[in-house]
Amino acid sequence: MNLETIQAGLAAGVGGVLFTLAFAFNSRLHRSIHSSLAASAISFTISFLFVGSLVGLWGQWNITPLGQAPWWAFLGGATGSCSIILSLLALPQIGLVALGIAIVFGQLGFSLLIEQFGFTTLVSGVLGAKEALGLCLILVAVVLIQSQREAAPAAESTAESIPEDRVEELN
Amino acid sequence: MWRLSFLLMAILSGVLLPIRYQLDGKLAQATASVPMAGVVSTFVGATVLVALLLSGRFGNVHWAGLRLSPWWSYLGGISGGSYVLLVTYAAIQAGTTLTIGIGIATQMLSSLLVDHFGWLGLQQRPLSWQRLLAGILLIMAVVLLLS
Repeated sequence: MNLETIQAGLAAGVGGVLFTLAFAFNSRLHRSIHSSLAASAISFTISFLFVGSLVGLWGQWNITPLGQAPWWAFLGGATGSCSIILSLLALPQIGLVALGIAIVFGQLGFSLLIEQFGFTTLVSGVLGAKEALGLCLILVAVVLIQSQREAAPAAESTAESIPEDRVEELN
Repeated sequence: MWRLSFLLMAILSGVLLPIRYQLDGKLAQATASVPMAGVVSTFVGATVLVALLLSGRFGNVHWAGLRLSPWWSYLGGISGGSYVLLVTYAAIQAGTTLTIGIGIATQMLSSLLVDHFGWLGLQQRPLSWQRLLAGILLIMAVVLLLS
């Protein structure tokens, strides 16, 4: 295990905790304004202002190299937003339990798929037996936690009448 | 069939995350700057959500609630923005699977903790034996992924 991987693991780990915090803050905002989409839109806008000013203060602001990136590399933020919208649409139909499991399954499954088949321009995390076991434990843990949540709401309930504030947590 | 299509939608919602890491990572590599990739990614993401919100197709917003919401409820953008920078860095260094695996584990662990104490105005959900067992499995998973 080299230092870079440990640093990356630490960054990913702190990222996960920050995600939980972002979810908690956003769900409080959602409760105030009765709209998960509006809360997400406000939160994402503040994210941009925060990251933008951070980069400005650091003196790292430089748009010139952006011209060297392929056009599709600019769509990362859009995929994040689409992910939120899809989960908001699916939640009232399939419920929180199925949604949480489906999202984690999709995240890990598709990530494994693209890395194993080399559809990645990043480092490909080599998957040994230990890593595979680790991912299996995560899936079991997610099922354990999700199976304790409320049963799926009725299919006819609208997007506004369900506990959708918990949806960001699952992304 | 109806329900199945929504299940596929939920899976797709998850599938988009490694794609996001790939795209943000590619942008960071092309510009040799994780921070600039974070600026672009958060800008594009915010633009899409604001555009959808302005389309008015997603229900009414109780705008008056903005002033009554506690100040800390606006910190989601700060932690969300930091999250984008950290996971983009992690994905470049260690790949998307390791990043997602560890990210899910610490996300779940911290939400077990937040739920247990009912912090930040969330509904309290005490640690049951299932949740405790899940927590132990998650810690083991992180150790396995990093060892």
